Amino acid sequence: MNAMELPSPRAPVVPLERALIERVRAGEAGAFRELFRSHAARVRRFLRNLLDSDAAADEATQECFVRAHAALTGGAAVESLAPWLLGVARNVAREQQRSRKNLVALEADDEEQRVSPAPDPEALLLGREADALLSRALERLSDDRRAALVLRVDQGLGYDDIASILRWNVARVKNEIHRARMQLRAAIAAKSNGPEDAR
Amino acid sequence: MSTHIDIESLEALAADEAIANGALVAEHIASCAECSEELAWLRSERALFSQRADEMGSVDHLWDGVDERIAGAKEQRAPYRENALPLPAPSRARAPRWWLLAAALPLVLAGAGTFAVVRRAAQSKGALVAQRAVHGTVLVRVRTASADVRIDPGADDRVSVLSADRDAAATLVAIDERTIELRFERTPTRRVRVEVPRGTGLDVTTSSGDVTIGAIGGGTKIITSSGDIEAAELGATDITSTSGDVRVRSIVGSIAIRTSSGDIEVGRSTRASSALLSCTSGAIQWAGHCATGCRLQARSNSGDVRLAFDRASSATVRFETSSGSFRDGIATGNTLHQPSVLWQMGAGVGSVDVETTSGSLALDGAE
Repeated sequence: MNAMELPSPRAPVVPLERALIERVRAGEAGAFRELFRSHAARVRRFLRNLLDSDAAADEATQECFVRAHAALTGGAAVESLAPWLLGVARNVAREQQRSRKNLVALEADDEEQRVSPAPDPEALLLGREADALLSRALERLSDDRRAALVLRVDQGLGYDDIASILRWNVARVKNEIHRARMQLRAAIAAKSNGPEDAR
Repeated sequence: MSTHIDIESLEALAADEAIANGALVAEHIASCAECSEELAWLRSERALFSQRADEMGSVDHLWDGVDERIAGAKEQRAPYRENALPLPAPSRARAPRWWLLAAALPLVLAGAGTFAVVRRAAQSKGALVAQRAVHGTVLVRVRTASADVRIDPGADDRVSVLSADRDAAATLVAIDERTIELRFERTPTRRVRVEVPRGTGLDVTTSSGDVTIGAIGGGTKIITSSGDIEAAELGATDITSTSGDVRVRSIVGSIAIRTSSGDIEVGRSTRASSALLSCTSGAIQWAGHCATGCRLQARSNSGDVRLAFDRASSATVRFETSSGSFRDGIATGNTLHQPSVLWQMGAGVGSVDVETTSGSLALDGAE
């Protein structure tokens, strides 16, 4: 696909939340809880997509915010809370993933894959197994590739922010997300075409 | 417009965001199957993730755990908590005898040096998070999910728990007079190390965490899903593992080890009145003594079985298989091949039954 030159979409405005960070650093009662309320759902959703387990996501979310508190009160430099918290969450998830032996990291199918036409989103949502389908499809991605895809598609982060979190360059981020999408679509298409094709 | 729309613009459209040259882009998409297809996929992806996000529910219940741990980290608390069983009452307080203190000073200093060494050693193994004195043989119960568990013989009659998790907190709870259960305030995620007196019974359950046990020698029960199990010396042993491998250097007493795909390896088995080694596709290796009162069963569907008998063994081996081969590495000369393999060593007192579908059996000598 040859991209025509268009201005990149306007980046969402991310408030610096400097005041909240300073209140947390000053030890103000309730400030960190306010931060937790603002960001915990998003962090937990990210971790749930990475770890594919509610219990593991709960545990990792708590660990993420405990670490975030320690870092903030320790004077860590934070420009924007959401990407920074997702970066902390990513590190926590990596530690959990390292200790899990039964993860499937299938990167062998790196070749460009031709997939079936996109299923109608409405029809996809009608399926009662939509969540299980997504879980299985994500499970087939490597940890890093899954993180990149989730940060882009579900968290809506810009490629620069994802590059910062994963410590990759932007070109690699785009490449990994593209490959993740191809794998995800192949899995979804296989499922949509019937169980015999899903193998 | 002859070229395709770039991915970031399509992503923005899929998210219903406004983009530059919107009308032009819409016109291109309407006439370009490839861009239209890509946009449809992007919308499907978003729909799937959005549906999951809608079902996530509240996270408010997680706050208490975060708050407690933050508060706990702030406390200037001791590095570990002592949960000792009742100890003799302290002796009556006396006025200090300065001459005794002076005489003891060199010992105190030497002791302090020792203590510092011990503390440094302990820190390298993780922070001490719980400790309890025990009297007599007890059963220690440990439950973890993904955290690895290592259990080693300690230097005294205490159960000590060390954790690599930051801010880990645990208690050793007496369930009854003989059973102590290790309870964490939150599920450990990193290695847990437990030191117990030799002979302590162990009851360990993990999900994916590995279990490593030193020369404890007590009766042991382990259940794990995918964790590997490695032990130096155990008493009577009952192990169930789904996909993890099981390797035990020495077992004194009866054995029951069951796996699905994990391998089983018992380096030396003695006084096993009954031994059951069972797996679906894993390989089985057993070495040891089998004679009077010994009953050994080894079953594997597709895995190979290797049994090594010491010179003093006296056993009869029956081998039932569909397609597995048989190798007699001891060459006793007492082998019948019809209808199944029947092999005898010495007077053939002990009973050994091996069943496979396609797995082979090899018999060898052991030291």
